[in-house]
Amino acid sequence: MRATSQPGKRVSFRLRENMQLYLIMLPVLLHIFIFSYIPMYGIVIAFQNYYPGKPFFSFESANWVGLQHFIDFFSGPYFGRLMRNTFLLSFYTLVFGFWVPILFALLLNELKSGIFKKFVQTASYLPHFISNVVVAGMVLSFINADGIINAMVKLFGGESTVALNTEAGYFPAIYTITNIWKSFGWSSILYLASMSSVDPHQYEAAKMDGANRFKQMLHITLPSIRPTIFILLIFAVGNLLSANSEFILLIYNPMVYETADVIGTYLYRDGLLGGNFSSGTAVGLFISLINFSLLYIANTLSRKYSDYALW
Amino acid sequence: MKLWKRTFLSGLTAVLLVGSVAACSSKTDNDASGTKQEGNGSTTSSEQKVTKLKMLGPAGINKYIKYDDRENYPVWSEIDKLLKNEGLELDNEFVPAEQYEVVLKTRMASGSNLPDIVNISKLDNTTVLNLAKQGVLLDLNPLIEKYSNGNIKKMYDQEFPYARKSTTSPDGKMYWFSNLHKKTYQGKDPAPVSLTMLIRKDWLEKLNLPVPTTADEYLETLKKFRALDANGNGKQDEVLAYNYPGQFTGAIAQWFGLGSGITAVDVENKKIVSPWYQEGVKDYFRYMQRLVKEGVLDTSLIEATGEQNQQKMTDNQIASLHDYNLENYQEPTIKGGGEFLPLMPLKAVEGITPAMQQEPHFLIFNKYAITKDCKDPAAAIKFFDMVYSEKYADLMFWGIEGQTYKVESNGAKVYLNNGPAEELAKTKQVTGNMLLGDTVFPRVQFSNLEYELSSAPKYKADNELQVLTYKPYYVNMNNNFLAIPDDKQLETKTKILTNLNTYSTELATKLALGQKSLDDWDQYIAELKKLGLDQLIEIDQQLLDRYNSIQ
Amino acid sequence: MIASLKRNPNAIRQGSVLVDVVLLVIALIICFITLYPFYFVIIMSISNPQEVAAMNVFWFPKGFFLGSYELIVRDTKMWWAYSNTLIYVSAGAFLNCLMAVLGAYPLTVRGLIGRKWVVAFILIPMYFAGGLIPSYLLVNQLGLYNTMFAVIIPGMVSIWNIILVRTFFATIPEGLKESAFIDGASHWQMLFRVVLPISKPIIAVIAIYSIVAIWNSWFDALVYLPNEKLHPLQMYLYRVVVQQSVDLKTLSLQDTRNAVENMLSNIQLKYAIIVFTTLPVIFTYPLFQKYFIKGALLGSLKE
Repeated sequence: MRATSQPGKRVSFRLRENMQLYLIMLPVLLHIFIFSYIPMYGIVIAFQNYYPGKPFFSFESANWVGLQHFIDFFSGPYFGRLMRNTFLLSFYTLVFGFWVPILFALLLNELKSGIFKKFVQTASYLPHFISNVVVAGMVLSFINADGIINAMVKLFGGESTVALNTEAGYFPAIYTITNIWKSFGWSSILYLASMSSVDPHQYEAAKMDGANRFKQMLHITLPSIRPTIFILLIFAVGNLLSANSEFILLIYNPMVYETADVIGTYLYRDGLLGGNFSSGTAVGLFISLINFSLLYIANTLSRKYSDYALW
Repeated sequence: MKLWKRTFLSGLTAVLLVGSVAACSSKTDNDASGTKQEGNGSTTSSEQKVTKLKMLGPAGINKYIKYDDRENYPVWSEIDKLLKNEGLELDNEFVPAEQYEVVLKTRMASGSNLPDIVNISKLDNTTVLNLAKQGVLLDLNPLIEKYSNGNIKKMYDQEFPYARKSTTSPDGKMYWFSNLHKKTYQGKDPAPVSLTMLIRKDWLEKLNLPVPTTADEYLETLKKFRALDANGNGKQDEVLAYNYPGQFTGAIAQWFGLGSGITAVDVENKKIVSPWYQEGVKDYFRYMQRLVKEGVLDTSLIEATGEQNQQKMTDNQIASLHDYNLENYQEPTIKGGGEFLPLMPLKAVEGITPAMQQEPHFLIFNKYAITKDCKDPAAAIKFFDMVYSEKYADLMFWGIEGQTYKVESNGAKVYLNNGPAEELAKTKQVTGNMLLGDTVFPRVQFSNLEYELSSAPKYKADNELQVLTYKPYYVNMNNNFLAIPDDKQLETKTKILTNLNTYSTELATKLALGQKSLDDWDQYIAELKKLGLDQLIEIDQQLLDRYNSIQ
Repeated sequence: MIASLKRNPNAIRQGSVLVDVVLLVIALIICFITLYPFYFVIIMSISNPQEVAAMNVFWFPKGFFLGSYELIVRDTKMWWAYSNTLIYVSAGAFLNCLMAVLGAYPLTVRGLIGRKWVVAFILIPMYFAGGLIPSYLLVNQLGLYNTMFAVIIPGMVSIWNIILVRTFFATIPEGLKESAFIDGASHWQMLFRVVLPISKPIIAVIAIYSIVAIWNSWFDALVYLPNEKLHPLQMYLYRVVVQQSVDLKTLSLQDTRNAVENMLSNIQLKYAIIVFTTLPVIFTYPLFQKYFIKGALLGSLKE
């Protein structure tokens, strides 16, 4: 680009420039290679019957079973339900939760600076720090037959004495609301940081033009965080098959398996019996493949229609 | 730029170097327990050489009684003496209990950093057998033949004959030593305890209600507790806490003659049963539905955690629950106090004798193995010879006479003080188990019913005496009666179990709650068969048969 | 429409006040629902243990009991863990920021040969991992096992952070860089003299994210640090939680007694530990917040 004036030196200049750039990246690439790529050989156990103590590569003793673990999972009686639940729970979180931190960041941005703003911001991300176990305990006591939720329903003249965790229909809502509540403040930090890169002159100029606050937000603030929104959206799509099973484990029970049992929780129960190293790895590999494909598709679409992309 | 590169590289090298140095040095912070006693002229003869054994196990979880303070506890010096007698010195690496499983799995899998003796209780049987196949763990039988002074054999063959049954692997070898436990009454009679339904005794008395003798009366009583506001808080919140209606593991299922799990061992008849095929199963579900419909059973407690149960318990809301008949830990946690009366199995259906759920009088559990890196197997066997001596068993379970226990006139040992751990940590009057148990020190327990009875209220003691001879019964840990499966049996079992368990538990829970209809019964059974229920019963029957055949 | 508003600027201002009030109310509601859980944890940690077990505490502490705190404060291991965590956090946060910047900058330079491949190289490990045992073997062979480096070094690169920084760098106007290159700057100088100074907001975000992530992490320590003296603070919480989830169904009568005793004493301890382990880290955000103020970018431009 810059070297256009001297076409002859262009190639060597580009090479030298690239050398420099790769050198900058070297520590990162090296680290990723050593700590992420070298251990990847462990994936082979998805195609074996592996137990701790067995060598990963051995021709005599390792029972290579090919795609058996995958086939077992696909043909299992719960394959459909597990996929559906895993997808839906992440999907609800995406649809109902993705825009919340954006909206919240915009709101904060409109607050006059000061102690109160700082306070709201700090308060908003506190749920992120409360461990799943405590959150689950609180949620369960709220949705109990005599919990706060039912008390409120009664207050408004409703008639409800069921514990909400015994009805499969309520589970997705409970899960999604809790998830959003736990993460929106934390996620808004990134948007706030992006907003801070806006030149204040822009706002002043807009004000001169008579744009009201809503218009300023729409035309100045929002565009400033567009790249961030798109990148996060791409990753959210690339995570559509990963529900928070750690949390689900704490609040589900057989009565709500119908809507609550996800791949992660199923694998957990599988693991309790011991010796599921291989099938667990196989299922994990399958999920990763799907997630990665989703990421790829989302990225391609985004590049085509919005100009923002990971690569 | 070059400078930067050089700094980075040298930095990385430095980091790696320091890392490896630290890795080496961090292994040596275990102290050898004092050499003070040398002068005592005890049996430690000067020519007897001291062998160091490297041990790996989880640290104890008691917040007050800590292994690090062992030198202050009299029981430790006694056990230390036993070790010195054998010329052994232990180099213990104790890993915090909550991380032990991960540390164990990774180390055993990599086969590196192995100790001489390792606590492998956290590994399932298959993993252990595979480790043995890889040569990581040693076969103990030839070692015992060669080096043992006879203690091990005596304990295993004479005192705990069932120990071999559950620890002999399909190839006839033995790869681990275990905790051995048995409980007797009057010196010889086996003394099982029961898992049963307990009901609030003080509420019965307060409301002048009789002790229920049938399942129907039980339901009526629970209804009355609610209607009459037994806890007096103005709310109808007296509930039955019954956590696992879908797993048949609560005592109510046994009232209907059902086995205590999706497959269960009928010990007396040497048969595997499944509740799904048993006569009383539909009646069980109908009864559960009544409990739910009357609002007696708290559905929010189904498959709940201990903490959720505790919440209702402390809040004085639990009218009845499933627990040990001799439990003594629930009552003190009730706000305002209370008493739980254990019920004998209640008659529920005409023609079916209600069964009891019992914990057998013997238990074989946990695993302690010798690894391939053990350079002196003779010393390792010496350690286990010490473990399986009566002196050690006494020190671990009972402690020191006059300090932690006394001998009654009828010859039975009885604990002296049952205070909370916090107090015991001050007086130092603790048993070996409290200080060392389940770390790398196996437990050998000659327990008795007398001490349990002496600390239980009379109504619980009376119940226990009835339990001793009650039949029919199922057991709470069915796996204890199954031999270790071979590769093929295990493969089939793991393939079946997750899906079958999911279906069975979900179905049974929904049937119990009335969310599914009993009308489609045949369809349910067909699905269970499709998921491998019959296969599972067959394999478990084979395992039970082999268990019974091992001498 | 803009033109019509222009004629009546007062309308905007009056509207503004109303908007401010509405925003304030919304913010207050949000504050309540997000502050409450932490408030709940605090009052649980100081109430009478029996009331805590009964979960009867909702608005105000019931009774007053500091025993749980006493137990924590008196435990020397806890203070060890605190200082360890400080080491992990400071080293980790610094390295994470450095690596994120180094990894992100080249990806934003137009003309980088093979960018697509580098991005793929970086993204793949986000989805595919070899599992616990190969990672353990690696760490063990590098001699890091049971040393502090076992936690610091494998965690010093976060792919997610690299992506975030890259996204921010991409929004820096090209013109800014052009002018620097005309002055003959190399990419090193470019990165450290031009790009970094105007990237304070994103560096602050990465710092916050890594500080909190490392502060809350326990898994690496669980796997690689059997030596308790090297444990970070979160292993404390993990211990209490794990002991709480013991499956009582699989224990014998005698063991059940001990487990129940442990569980009971842990119910409240859990809340006290959460207060103790989260209070300091909560204040990281206000600390970094100044970099988020509107015009931070402009300010650096003028320097």
